[in-house]
Amino acid sequence: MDFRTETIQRYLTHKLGRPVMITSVERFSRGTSRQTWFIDLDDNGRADTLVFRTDLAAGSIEPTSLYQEYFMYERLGHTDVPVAKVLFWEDDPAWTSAPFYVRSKVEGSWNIPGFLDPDPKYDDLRITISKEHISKLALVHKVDWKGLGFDRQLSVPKDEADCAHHYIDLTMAQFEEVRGSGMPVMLEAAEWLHDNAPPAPCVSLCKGTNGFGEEVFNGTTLVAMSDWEEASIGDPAADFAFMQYLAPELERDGRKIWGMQQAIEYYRSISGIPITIEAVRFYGVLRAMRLIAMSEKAGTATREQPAIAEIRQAWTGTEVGYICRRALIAALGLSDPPPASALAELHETIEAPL
Amino acid sequence: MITVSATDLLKIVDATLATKVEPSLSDLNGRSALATVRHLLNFVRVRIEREGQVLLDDNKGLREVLEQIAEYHHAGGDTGDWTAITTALAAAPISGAGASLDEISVEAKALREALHKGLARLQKMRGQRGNEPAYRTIRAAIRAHIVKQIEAEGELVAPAFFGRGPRR
Repeated sequence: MDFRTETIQRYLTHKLGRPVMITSVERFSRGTSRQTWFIDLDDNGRADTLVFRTDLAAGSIEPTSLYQEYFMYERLGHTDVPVAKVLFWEDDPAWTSAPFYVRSKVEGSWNIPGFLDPDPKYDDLRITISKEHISKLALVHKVDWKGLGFDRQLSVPKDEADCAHHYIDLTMAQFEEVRGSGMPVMLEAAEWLHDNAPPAPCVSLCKGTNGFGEEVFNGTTLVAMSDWEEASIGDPAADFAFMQYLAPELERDGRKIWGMQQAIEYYRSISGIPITIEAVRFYGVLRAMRLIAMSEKAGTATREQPAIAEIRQAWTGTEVGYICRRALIAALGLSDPPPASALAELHETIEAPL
Repeated sequence: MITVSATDLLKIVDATLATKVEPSLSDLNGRSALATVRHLLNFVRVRIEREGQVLLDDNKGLREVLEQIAEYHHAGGDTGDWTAITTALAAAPISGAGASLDEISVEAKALREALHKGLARLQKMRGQRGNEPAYRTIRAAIRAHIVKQIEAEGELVAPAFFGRGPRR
């Protein structure tokens, strides 16, 4: 899709079957995996904003397809999970050379003012947001994925004991498909994970990457869960390992007031699902492996299509991959982990500096 | 002789981006891309300065560990595995004196691929041989090389990126 105002205006007028006036076209600056465009329009006197999602010109860094992401939104629209309403999928070559889909925009922001400010006056806000997020994750984990047909797109482990093994094998298969060169640390890590795989408490729909920067908040309410490209079916503990910032470790006057342990206890109190901190650490290693697969895909795009790859793919293909490899050898007990500050910097943006 | 080096040029390009280009950008996407560009320019500078030796050392270590794997298979009578590893070693290009960074990288890529596949073959033997000292020794040698290689990678990444502000 060429995101010029005139093209989008022609397209939406055709698609909606009524004339609309485009008032603004803006590419969302955050996000590394795919392109997100905000299209403001005047629809018969009513202001509206639509969100267009499409792959990067040189391909997404995700191992999963754009269609799967669309499918997730469509299916989740039949659940209690808060998500933006998906409107339509488009792959008609008359309109676009690359598929895209369109969804409505939910009022709110990925940013939570004060959340990252270390001032203790924001601790209550941090805990409130954390509980809100966890309660929404519990909704995801309770989704009847079989009844709603999520298994038409997502692969399914055989049972609770198979969840971790299935996810390791899936990740390694995705990695092998995209790796740019030999990376034996991935084989070592996969073997170690198979040896230490915990059984899951249940087989759940899992969101994948979640937390700060991935969801839409309006005040302290999570109004839309976003970024479903890493969704899977497996152990809900994975979502605690894939969570960004929203189970912050808080200590005041020598007393622990919140953290991952408190977060999983709260989660159990509302969902009845027992998750262990060991399982969360286990899936943290798998997350590093998944990020390495994405880094390799981004690196391949950089090498093979430098004229159209995005500069952010070059970064994902370099520093991000290194940090994760470093995390893997640390998890295997072979070296020190990357500095915590370096991990934090990966999530830092010019809009939200640390 | 041009006395302004490639790294001198990268430093002045980066300073110009910071002082002349960045202040003139009002678009968030442009500023975000510029932040990434500056980090990557810095990474290129560090790699020009250090990567050649890092790769030469790593390639030497890779050849040593691949030869150890070949010896292990030879001693174990694993003819097919021995052939696979020795063939890969023989096929990997050898960077001569004066080789470019790209040429040394091609050698590294071939050797890393050989180690990846060699380890995958060894992992398949773990069920039968996992407790044998020779097996444990070769696996430990591979792990030691992996750690050394990743730590050496850190000598390029850390000074280029860490503590230098948002990447995007």
